[in-house]
Amino acid sequence: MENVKGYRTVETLRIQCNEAIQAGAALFAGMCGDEVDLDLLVAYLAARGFDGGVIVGDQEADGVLWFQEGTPREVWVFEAGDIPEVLLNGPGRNRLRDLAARGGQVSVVACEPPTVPPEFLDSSDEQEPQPAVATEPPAHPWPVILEHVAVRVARSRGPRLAAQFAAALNRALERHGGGMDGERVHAPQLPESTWRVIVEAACAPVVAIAGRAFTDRTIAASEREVAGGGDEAQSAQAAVGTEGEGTP
Amino acid sequence: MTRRSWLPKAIIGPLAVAAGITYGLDGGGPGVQVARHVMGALLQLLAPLVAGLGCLTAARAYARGDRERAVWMTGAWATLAWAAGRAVFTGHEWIAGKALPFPSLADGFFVAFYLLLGTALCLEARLVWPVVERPVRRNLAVYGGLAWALALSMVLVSVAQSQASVLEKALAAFYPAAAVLLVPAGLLPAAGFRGGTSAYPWLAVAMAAVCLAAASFGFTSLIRHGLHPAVHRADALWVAGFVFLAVGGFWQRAALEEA
Repeated sequence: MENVKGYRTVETLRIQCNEAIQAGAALFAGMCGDEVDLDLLVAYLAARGFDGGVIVGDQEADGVLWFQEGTPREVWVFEAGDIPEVLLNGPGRNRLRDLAARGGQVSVVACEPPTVPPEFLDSSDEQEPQPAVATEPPAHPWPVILEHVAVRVARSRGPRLAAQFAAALNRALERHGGGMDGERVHAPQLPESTWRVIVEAACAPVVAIAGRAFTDRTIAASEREVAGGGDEAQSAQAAVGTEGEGTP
Repeated sequence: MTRRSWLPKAIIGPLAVAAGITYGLDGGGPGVQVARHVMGALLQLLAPLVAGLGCLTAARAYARGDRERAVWMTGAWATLAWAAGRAVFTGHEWIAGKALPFPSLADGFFVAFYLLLGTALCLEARLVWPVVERPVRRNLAVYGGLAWALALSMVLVSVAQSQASVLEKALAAFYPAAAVLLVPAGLLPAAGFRGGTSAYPWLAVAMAAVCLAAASFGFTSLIRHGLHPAVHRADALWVAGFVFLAVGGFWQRAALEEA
């Protein structure tokens, strides 16, 4: 019964969010999709703690990426007459890119995110925000990787951007019961999809300043460093004074 | 408007206006010509100092030991070397009474400028090399190689026929050829940070390299034909180059502070 209620709550929230976004005030409307850098737009909105949605649509389908306090959430794709297809931020954004590339128009709509309706909550305990529970094992050791990303950003882009990254990471982790303790990242066990959202939110300031390519390669290099023995590999690199390919 | 946002505009704006007046206007009596000569010399000294201030401002956005700080600090030292060279050049003109002090001690500083700026851009290129896609790197390398070969051949063809000394010929070939190589070196970081605001300062640096390369060509061409006057419109390209460098430095700082 709880699962059914939970499912209904999530579905209702999606419907409410979509209705709020569709009825919200358009900051930009009808921008030509193939002239908009979607990643840059998302990074820009994320860096400013945007609430609302980015809508990409053509005559066949509408795609909506919604933001909550600057965090890009799910993407819903509405094909004509079908139930919305729900996608995670990463693949969802690819879908929006496809829509934009085939001539879709981009709109940005600001709106307040709806609150959880009380009839879907059984007791006062459930009104507290619940951390996500891992239903799938994370594919990467994200806390360690993110610590390495912070170090790399500080080293090559300066302490100011690293501080912005750490603040964004802390905000994203707090929603799931985690946080940063100095340079250490601590978080409960979270599913891979949740980590993807956290990484996206944390990296938004870095994308805005240094671009998507730099950010992706920094994450990839950190992953390799962690996979290749972490501090031992770092010490070895420092000792010989060289760094490998893909090491910003 | 914060102090930091208007300060670069307050410095660069009057410099650009003064350059426009000095190099844009023609004619006038002997008094006006002397005034233009003085203004020209002053601008050629101030422009690299302003560029150095921009580089220093960018460097201070980073902590000690950061690689990016080393890049911008090397750029600042380069501009200081150029300013020193201009001071020596002007000293030779005004105090020693040489119409064209080339080659002279000043050229030592100018060569140092190109070597230091090249070092700064190589440091930055090494930082961003892994984040630039292979086709972009290849295209920039091909473009850089072709432009360098073209520039070198053009200069070599012209200076080889002149009666100038070996040192004069070597310097005349070095300046434009070195400046041309700086253009792709400036474009590489711009490509690495594309989509982010950090790309724009590096586009400004690449533009600075374009202006310096054009100015070098103009300088060597004017000398070869014996047409180098006290003030020439082509000298505006030197000022433009340093203004772009200053814009790059100030912009880099602003981009990081807006993060």
